[in-house]
Amino acid sequence: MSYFLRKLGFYVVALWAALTLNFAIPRLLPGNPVDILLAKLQQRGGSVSPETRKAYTLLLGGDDTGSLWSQYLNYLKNLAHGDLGVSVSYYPAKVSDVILGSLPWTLVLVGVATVLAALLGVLLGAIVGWRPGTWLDSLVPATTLLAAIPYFWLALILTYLLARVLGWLPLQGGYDVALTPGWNTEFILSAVQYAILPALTIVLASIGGWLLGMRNMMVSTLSEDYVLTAEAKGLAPRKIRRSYAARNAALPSVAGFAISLGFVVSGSVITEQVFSYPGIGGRLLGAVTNNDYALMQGVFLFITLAVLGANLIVDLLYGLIDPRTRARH
Amino acid sequence: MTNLTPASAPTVADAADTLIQPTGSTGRPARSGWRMLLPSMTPWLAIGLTLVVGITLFGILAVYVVGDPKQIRDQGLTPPSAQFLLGTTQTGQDVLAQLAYATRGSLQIGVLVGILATVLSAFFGIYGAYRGGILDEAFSLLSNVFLVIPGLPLVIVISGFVPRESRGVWTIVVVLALTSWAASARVLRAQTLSVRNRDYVAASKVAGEKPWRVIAVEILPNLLPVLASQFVFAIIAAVLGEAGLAFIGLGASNSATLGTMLFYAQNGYALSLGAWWWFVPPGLIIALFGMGLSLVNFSIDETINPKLKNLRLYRRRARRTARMERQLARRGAGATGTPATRSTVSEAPPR
Amino acid sequence: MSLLTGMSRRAATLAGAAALGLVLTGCSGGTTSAGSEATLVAYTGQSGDYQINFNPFSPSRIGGLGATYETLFFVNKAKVSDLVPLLGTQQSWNTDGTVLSVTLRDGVTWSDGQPFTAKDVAFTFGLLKSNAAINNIGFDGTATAVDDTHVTFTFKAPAFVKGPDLLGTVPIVPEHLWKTINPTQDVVEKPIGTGAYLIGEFKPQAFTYAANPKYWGGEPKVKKIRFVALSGNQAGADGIAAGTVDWFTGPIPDIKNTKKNFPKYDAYTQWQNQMVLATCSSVQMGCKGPQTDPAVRHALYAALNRTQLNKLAFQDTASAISPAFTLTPSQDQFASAALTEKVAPMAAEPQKTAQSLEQAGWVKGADGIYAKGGQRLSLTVEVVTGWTDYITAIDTMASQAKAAGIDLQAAQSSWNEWTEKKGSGNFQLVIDSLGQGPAPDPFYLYTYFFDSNTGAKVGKSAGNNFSRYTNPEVDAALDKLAALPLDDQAARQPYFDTIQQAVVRDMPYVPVLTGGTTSVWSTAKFSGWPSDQDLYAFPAVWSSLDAAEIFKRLKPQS
Repeated sequence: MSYFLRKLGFYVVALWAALTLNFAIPRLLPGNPVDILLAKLQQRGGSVSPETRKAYTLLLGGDDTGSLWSQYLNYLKNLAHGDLGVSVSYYPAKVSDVILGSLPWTLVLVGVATVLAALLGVLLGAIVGWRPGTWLDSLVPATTLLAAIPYFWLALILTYLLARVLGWLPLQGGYDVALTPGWNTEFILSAVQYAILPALTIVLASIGGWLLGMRNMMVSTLSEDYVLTAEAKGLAPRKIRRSYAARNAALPSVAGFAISLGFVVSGSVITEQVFSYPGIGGRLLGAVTNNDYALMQGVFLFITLAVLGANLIVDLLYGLIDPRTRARH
Repeated sequence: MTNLTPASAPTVADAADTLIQPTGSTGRPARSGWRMLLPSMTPWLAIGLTLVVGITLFGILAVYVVGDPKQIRDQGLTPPSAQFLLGTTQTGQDVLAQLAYATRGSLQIGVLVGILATVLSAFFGIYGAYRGGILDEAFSLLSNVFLVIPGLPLVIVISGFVPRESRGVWTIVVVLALTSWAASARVLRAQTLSVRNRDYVAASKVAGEKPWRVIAVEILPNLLPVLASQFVFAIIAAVLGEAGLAFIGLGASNSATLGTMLFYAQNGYALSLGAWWWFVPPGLIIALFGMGLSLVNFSIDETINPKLKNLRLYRRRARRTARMERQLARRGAGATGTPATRSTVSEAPPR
Repeated sequence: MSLLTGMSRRAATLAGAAALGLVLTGCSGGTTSAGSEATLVAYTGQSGDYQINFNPFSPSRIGGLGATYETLFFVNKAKVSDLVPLLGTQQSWNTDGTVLSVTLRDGVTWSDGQPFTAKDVAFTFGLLKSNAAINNIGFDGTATAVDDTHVTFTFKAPAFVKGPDLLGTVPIVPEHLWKTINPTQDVVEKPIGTGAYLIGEFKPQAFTYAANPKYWGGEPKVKKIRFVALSGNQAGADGIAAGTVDWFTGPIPDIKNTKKNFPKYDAYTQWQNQMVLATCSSVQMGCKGPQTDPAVRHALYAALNRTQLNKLAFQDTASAISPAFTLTPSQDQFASAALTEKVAPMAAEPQKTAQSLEQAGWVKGADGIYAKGGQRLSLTVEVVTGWTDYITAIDTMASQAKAAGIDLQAAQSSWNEWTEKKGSGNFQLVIDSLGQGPAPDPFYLYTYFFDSNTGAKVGKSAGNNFSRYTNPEVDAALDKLAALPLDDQAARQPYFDTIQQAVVRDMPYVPVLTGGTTSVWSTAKFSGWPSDQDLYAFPAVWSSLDAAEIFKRLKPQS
């Protein structure tokens, strides 16, 4: 029991440290939100008079008057209340509203694609790894190419071919914007249609890794005593494969999967950029370039929680399934 | 190529194996029979070596052959021709020359990040786990914190602290290294924990060896393959990560890399204009280089990882059967790194 | 081959700019008839999803200004012309510029049916004055409703130059609704205005305008306008290629052949942003480096081959620039007769560079670069990473300058850092553009960028005058101009002459070219777009007030 308590305590400290860093990093960025807002206005031909500067400083710059220390205490206090503050770049919208509006898109698209890639990869890996040395297995190394392709490059080329040249799939966006989002068939069909291309690129880019990992674990498992024993007992190969080899071989993939889920939020930046897909990635990018401290912190908070949570689960899982991990404490 | 030399050192299982079957081998690793450790030459290994060596040589040597990549010409965007083998950009710059410099830039970033990330992860993963106690907890905490540090603004923050002359490559190197060592450190820590309780390590400790010596002599050799594989994957991840950052406009400034080249191509509407000769080559080089490294890594892994040794056995058996059936023999290839490393490689977009 | 132009810079920029793009977005829309066929789909280049905000005073508004909330008059910045009456019909100043009388349109109603009166106007300006955070024109007078259709604005000091801001940029809001609204915090989800369009539906990925059937000017022909959220200019260009966007202001590949590549579209370019190599010019304010020597700035000015620059870096979408920063040709009438060059020479003039430098004591070194007192003539130009057209421009200028004996180096940094450098004066050269004011009148540009009041010592944060130009003569002339009516050209010209002489002599901003803003629009679906013959508004979909005028003029093609 104390193993789990220790682990939990450890993650609380890690969370605090990460939150503190999230507080500090945005404040180390050069420039301030007002200057950047004005620079952008002017870049697009807007007129920026001294009066405009004054008004926007009053409007947007009011929050950062206290000392860094009091800002920090406020930040922690507000976090504890679930108050993420007000976004400067979407002023006066609350950060939590901005994030909640975008998060579902990211979670559904990137989440589903990640799950699909992992499931397919593990399944294929188990099949291929069961019979090492066959022609099918000898093709496995080719999948390294998939993992090594720059994601956006693959996505752009596929988009160009499938959407631009062939016109099979929509080019950009999350759904046909003439429709109203809601639980109706028309909208859901449209959303699915728009999600095919981005999801396909994510699956293609990440399936290779899962496949290889699983296949290698399968190969390793085949020489284990319990597999040999099972064979000696005369169990059906199918049963050995599923109940003995694949189950054990999939363990590291489960761990890897938990961790990769943690990166779903942060991993969406490029996908959303390429496909003009709605979601949290675009918000993060905007927050960073606009020095929108509150929004940045809000998004970081989500990433932090997701990644730490995933790691915690993996740790606890290993504590459960592998007693030796616990023993040393 | 040279990057991979450490991988041919002796070893035990790779990290993933150890996680579920840490009983592994308990004896000292074999120190003899180096010949045994050389990977058998498979077609895939040959392809991998060719790709890595070829692209590395291109990156190192081609810059002395090609012209000035920045030279602007009034002719604008032109397809490949005898004068410009890969055509020109829309400002009339020679794509081949740019590709040469960009490849060099990307390789530089890859190798630097590889070294930095490996050193960081080795220090925090191995040393912490070996010492145990508070230090281990602290290092472990640090790894976890670094696992969640947002890389995106870190690029901007760090670039502000890096002096102008070394801006660009170093900014990106530091950011990528800082955000990529943590996962490896966790794997190394797990590995070290399992190794340090083995008899020969304990014996060495009892004999009064200094910690650094125990680590260097007794523990490190066990971890070399993991380190090597992490090094190789750190290179791939760095090259890909740089390309991703460049794509969203936060790439290495003032220096040519494959990522910035793709960024310019994309902003020059290379694809829309049908200028494949500008957009396709940089991405292809990244993909092929990454593939080459992975292939080499697999073959080595297959040799040094006892768990995967039976692969060769299977292959031989399959070949024999095949020969008997008078079919062309096909051969498989080897192993990979840990799932954790894999997932960083395959889906490590910048945070 | 096109396009690395001005726009790719913006594309890159916007990739990051997300929300801020919205600031400019705000405009209007209209649309048409029955089916979705006649819906006009507009894309402003803003990146990322929309966050609802139709408050016309908010810098993060996504729409509402112009189309729903109208101003008193429309000021056409694209050319020097009379004010276009909207809610106001006539306006006049008293002779000393302290009282402005405005006659309002009769019979206008808010979209909820309430009548629009002078009280609403007085209320709106009162709102500005009592909420400094939304008073971005610095309104300091008093607005009084004389009767239902007459308003007077009184000021303590002559305020002629405030006219265009006051008449042309302040959206009038209904008193009966806004008296209970917090104007800085409310996002006004259901805006009630007098304009030609009402807000239709809002979704984070798109929102629509629907024609106001009771609009005082008659219901607009385009009945529905949809603004879509995409990821940036690349996506906008893709939308044009796919035919899913009808109006996009930004770059597309191969601009010159738009008509050929996309028969349903046409591209139209107007020039407003005067691109410069801005220098940290004043030694007195703490600037350091060779660029503090005016001779160096003149040498650079003469070393540029602008024709080549336009072709390679801007795909020929830029145009000539006046060294006095009077937009050419639309503001030529303000240019001083004493100027020797009306526009900056398009070809390089190396002999002038040599002459300028050698007179100032610079000597060409063995490496072909000038030097003086052991200091090599090497200058660093700050540019934002990812502004591909500007970076290409610097590369091109560097090779041109090298031929003339000046070493130019590009230094890229993030937007945040670049903005910081500009503000603090920690730079030698910055490539940037000087924006126009609220009216087609060079006074605004001069007061923004050359007035020592908006400068600051190096290390302190400067306003617009980041070049830190300080000249009491110019300051005095600007003060005089502020007290003169905008239409009294005879009285104003002597002061313009003074300013222009100083600007050209000292050249704190080295003129490069005038950057173009290109709109691509569907001529197959709609007619009535601005043209050279009828340039009734500045054609940019992100310029809310201009876009509102354009939406009203468009007609669906049958």
